Amino acid sequence: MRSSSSRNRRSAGLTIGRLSTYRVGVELRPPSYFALAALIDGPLHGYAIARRALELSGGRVRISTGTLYALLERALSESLVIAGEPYVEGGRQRRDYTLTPAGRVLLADEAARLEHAARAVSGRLSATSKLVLT
Amino acid sequence: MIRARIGQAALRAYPPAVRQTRGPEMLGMVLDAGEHSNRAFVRESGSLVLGGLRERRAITARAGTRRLLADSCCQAALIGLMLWLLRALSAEAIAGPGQQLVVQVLVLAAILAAALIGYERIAAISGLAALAAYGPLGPHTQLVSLAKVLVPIGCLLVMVCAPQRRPRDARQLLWLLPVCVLAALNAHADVSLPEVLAVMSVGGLLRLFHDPRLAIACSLVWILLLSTDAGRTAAAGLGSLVIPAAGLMLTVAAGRLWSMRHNATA
Repeated sequence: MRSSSSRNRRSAGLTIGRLSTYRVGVELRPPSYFALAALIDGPLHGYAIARRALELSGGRVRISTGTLYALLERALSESLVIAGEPYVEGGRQRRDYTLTPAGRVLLADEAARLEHAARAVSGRLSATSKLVLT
Repeated sequence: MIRARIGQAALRAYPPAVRQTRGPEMLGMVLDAGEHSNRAFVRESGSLVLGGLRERRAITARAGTRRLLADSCCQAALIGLMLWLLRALSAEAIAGPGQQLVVQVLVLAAILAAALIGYERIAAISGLAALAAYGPLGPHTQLVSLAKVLVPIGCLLVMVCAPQRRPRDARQLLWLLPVCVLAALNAHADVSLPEVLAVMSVGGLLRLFHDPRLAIACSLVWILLLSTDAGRTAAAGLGSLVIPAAGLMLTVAAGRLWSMRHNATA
């Protein structure tokens, strides 16, 4: 039986990612996953989030401005991140975003799900590799 | 400097509220990302336009099907009033300024101005009164004539019961400008109502991605126009495909509205 906090988390609707509705513990699209993951080490502004996400994904996930702000807006409405006060740096207005505890929980859930999925497939692949080779 | 201006122009795709809160930092990110590459700048500006249109689409979809249909009817009533005013102006240009026509033009202009500013209920009630006074309605109205005014009456009644939810804004009166330009053009060259409506329909189709209301409104006005003999004759100048095109536009716009609502509630 699931604990009540886990059930509450899972029943809380989460809208994040491009035009899709997700439920906690089900799935996050790569841009949302890596954008949130970019904030694990501390607050970052928009452009820094996109650069960090690109770095974390090994150059596979490039988040454009339009996509990033759409998913940040949704993450803000779901209290997964909080926005700081705007400030000017190098003549450009910026605002730092910080991951909330709820955002960390969601990321941990998603990372565990991906890890489990990867382990299951890798296990089956290595178990059957000899059969395929022979 | 030019890049900042291009970025600001791309930001216009976003609704004003988003532009106000996030605009400067979004612009900053576009400039940062495109600092060393023109290609990256173009890509980021494009993503800003798409993001803005998606944001607008989400706002439209959240309004609900009934509200969107009511808005379409209100917009159809506005377009209908605009075309009616144009027809009255061109009749005046052809026949010369008669007292009754001048009064009709002034009444229609006042109704249209009220509707544009945001006094839609008052405009709709006045529109119904004008329809009774100048339209084909009367004590000896035949059933066929009555059927022809069902669409405008329906749209005006929707406008009375469920006017569009928008703040009153006198700047909307600027929409009278194209009417004046068209009326001036009409005095020298023959600009028919179907041609004006065709231009509006193109506008409606261009907005279809994020807002199908104008396309539905134009389709309703096409139905109104094509239900009259004079309208059918004038529309024939645009080609024989006008009727199926109007039907297709209504179907596509209604389908788009359904898919937007479906995505919003999924």
